[in-house]
Amino acid sequence: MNAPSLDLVLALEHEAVWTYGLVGGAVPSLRSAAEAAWRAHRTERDRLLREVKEPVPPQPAYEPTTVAGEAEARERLQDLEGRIAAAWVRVVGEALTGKDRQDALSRLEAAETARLAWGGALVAFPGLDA
Amino acid sequence: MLAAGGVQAAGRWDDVARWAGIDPVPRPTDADRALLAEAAEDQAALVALASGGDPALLALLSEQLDALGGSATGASPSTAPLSVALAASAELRTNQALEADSPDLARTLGSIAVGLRVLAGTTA
Repeated sequence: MNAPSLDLVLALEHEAVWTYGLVGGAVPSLRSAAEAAWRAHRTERDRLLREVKEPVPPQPAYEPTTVAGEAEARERLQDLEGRIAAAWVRVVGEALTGKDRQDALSRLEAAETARLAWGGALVAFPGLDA
Repeated sequence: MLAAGGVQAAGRWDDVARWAGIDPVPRPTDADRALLAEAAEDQAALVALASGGDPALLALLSEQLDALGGSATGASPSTAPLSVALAASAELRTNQALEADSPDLARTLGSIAVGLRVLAGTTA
């Protein structure tokens, strides 16, 4: 796939791998779910590292570098998955082939499903709602 | 049913894209106008079916219909169960997103498709 916003998706996947690691380590009640999500995002990050021509590197850490408890973690993960959904909806418009657009739509749906699983509210326009 | 003026009301989906900071495309192609009209008509049938049910669901579906420039006034409701109708419309909106020429229309239709699929899952 050749879409400028894949850089943004990759940057967010770096953040996701870091953030799910943080949550899994800091919030015992979310450890199992966070670990499953961490694995999925790591796989996606590695896929994008192979796909993006000049991949952006991860940051050393992502602010805030701590998480105080389950409620704060859930809120943070909703925000993160919402930003990933927003990045994928950009890719939907940039994709040059139907297959790539379909792929972007599938990944948009996965991010929206994850956002809801962490407690996000239903919205009319996943990835486009502010 | 499309509102009077049909796709002249199409500027609403540009508005949706603009909320996300995406520049709108000012002139839809004829093919995109047809897609938009088809999407609005189908969405109006969904809104008609959902009327009288869960107000939160109706609000979300109506918001989507508004973005497509349509109106539920006089629309014939789908005869399928709501969850089935939502899933069918999600599939239709996905195909419309794949066919759209305008990147912004593709984004809007694709976003609505995902929203409908999620709603279908919650109403099953």
